[in-house]
Amino acid sequence: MQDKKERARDYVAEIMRQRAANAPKPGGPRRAGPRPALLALLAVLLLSLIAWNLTAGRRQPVVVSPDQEEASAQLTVYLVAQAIETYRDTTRTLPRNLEDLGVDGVGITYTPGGSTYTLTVEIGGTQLTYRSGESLEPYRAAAEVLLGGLR
Amino acid sequence: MVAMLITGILASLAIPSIGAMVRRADAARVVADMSAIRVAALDYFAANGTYPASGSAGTVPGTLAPSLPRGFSFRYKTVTYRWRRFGLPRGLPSSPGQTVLEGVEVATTDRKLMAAITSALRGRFAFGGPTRITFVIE
Repeated sequence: MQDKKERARDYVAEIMRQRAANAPKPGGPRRAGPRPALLALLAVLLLSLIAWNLTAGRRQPVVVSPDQEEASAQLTVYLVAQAIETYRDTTRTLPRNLEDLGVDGVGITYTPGGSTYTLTVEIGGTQLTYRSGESLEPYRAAAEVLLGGLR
Repeated sequence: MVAMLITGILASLAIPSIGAMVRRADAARVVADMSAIRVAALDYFAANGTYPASGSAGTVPGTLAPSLPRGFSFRYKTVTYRWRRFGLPRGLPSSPGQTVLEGVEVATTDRKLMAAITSALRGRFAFGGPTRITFVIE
């Protein structure tokens, strides 16, 4: 009977020793960190996105096509010339400047000279000049290009 | 480290979309402002039989002010508006009877915003360059 008790005690003690041996030790080996390859991949992805954002952010969109910009300039010349002619018909003199007609700030240079005048506008590096007395029909026709809207 | 990189990637993806959304919202505001100016101009026409004369850039014309909402401004962020009226004694090719052209000039140095405005007003008779466009009202 005594022998049975001792054997049982030893058996329980052995189980306890095994459990203690298998239990995780504090301050033991740390969990493995993320793989360097994954970190490198994420870093490359982030840098690519930042570079793409910077280049895309600097790119300027096309607001008005070159054809429409030229047609706009021609139509503006037509509108300004009409305003000048109307002023001249009413007062028999040329206006001193475009502010007097309320058509200033449209990107056109007005140069009066005696009984004639010139209108100059710059489009994409080239100059378009209208001299009083010339036909306004090509300028008037430019409106057709713009009736459907820009772009 | 991984969490920081993933956060950076998500932010890099989100920032351009947020910028585009803000621009679309600004463009919608400009379109709404132009609509208010148009209504004010029509109101003036109904009372006087003619449209108001051209105004100055960024300044509410005194002729339109009574018909505009209280506190309405001709400036919004980088955008300035200008009421334009052009006399057309010879008319336009497609409508020879049209002797006056009225519109709102929209000016901004922000080309991306101007592109968004032009896109919102696609199909409208308009003329100008990349930083200043007149949208014809009547």
